[in-house]
Amino acid sequence: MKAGWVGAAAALAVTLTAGVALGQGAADVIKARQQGYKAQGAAFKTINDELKKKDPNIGAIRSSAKAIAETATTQYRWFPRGSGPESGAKTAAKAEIWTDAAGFAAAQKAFQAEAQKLGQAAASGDLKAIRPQVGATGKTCAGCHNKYRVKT
Amino acid sequence: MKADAKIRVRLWDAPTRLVHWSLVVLVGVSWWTHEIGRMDWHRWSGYAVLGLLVFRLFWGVFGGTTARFSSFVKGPRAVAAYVRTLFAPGQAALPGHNPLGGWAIVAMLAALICQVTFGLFAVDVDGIESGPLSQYVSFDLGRSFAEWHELSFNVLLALIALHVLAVVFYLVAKRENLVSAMVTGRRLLDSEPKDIRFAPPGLALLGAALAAAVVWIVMKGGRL
Repeated sequence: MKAGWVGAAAALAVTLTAGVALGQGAADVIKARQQGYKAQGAAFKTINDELKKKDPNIGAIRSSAKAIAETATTQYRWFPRGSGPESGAKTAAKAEIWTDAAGFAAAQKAFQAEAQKLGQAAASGDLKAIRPQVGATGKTCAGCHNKYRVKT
Repeated sequence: MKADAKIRVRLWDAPTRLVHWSLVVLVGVSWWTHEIGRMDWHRWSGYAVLGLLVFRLFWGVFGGTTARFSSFVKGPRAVAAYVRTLFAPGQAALPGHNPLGGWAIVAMLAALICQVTFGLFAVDVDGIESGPLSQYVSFDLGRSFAEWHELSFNVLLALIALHVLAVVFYLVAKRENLVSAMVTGRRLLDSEPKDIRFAPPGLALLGAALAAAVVWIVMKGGRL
C-alpha cells in the first residue's frame, strides 16, 4: 500500500518537474510539432494532387507516403507533458491528449498502422491499392483531430 | 383609402428569385456540411453556389431591367440622396433595388464570389480535403486560402445580417413587405413603373448553360 503511494507521489513529481522543465522549451516543442504535421499535410496534398491527375507520378506518391509513414512513427515523441494549452504558447493541442493519454495513444497507433500500409501500397506502385489506403489513412488523421485538436 | 390606389406590379423575374432563394438555402447547406465535416457535400454545395453566381453575373448584364447592374448600381450622390429620404415618411416605394440596397447586393455578390473562389483553392489542415483547384497552389498557400475562406464567410454573415435587418426595417418602419415581393415577384406600388422589361426565357437557358459549363470545368480541376 505504502509503496503505491510513494510510486504515485514520485510519478506526480516527475510529471510536475517535466512540466516545469519544459516551461521555456514548450514553445519550441510546439513549433517543431506544428512543422512536423505541416510537412505531413503537404505530403498528403502531394499524394492527393497526383491522384487527381490522369497520369499520377508514382515516384512522388512513393516518397510522400514514405515520409508520412516515417513521421507516423516519430510523432509519438511530439507530445511531451507540458506542451499543451497550459504552456501558454499558441497550440491547437487539447488538454485531452494528456488527460486521456490511452485514447490518444490508440489514435496515434491507428494512424501509424494505416500510414505504414500506405507506405507499402505506394511502394507497390499499384494505384488501385493506393487510392483506398489514402482514404483510410486520412480517416485516422481525422480520428485524432476531431477529438484532440482544437477546431480552427 | 390610399392603399386601394396601389397596384401590384411584376418586378422580379423567376430566375432572379430562384437564384436568391437557392443562395439562401445553399449558404445554410454549405455552413452545415462544413460543421458536420461532410466535405463531399460541402463541395457539391459550393459547385451549386458557383453556378448560381455565374448565372447571376450573366443575368446582371443580359437579364431583365430589375436584375441588371446598370439599373441598380448608382453613384455616391444617388445613394446619399436616397439615404436622406430613408427615414422620411410617405416616400413612394421604388421599383427594384434602391440605390443603397443595390450596393448591398453588389457587396453580397462580391463576398460570395470571394467565398467560392477561396474555397476552390483551400486545403484543410491535414492535406486531405481540398478544393477542386487546390493542386495549382502549394500546401501553405492552400492553407491561407482556407483561412481566407473562413474570414470571408464572416464578412458574408455580417452582410447577410445587414440585409435581413434592412428587410425587417422596411417591414416594420415602412410597412413594405419585401420578402413576399421576392417570393411572388410582385409588389404593391403607387403607379406602374416605366421602362421595366424582362428577358426572354431562352436567354435564361443560355445563362444556365454557361453556368453549368463553368462548374463542369472547375469540377474537372480546371482541365477542359
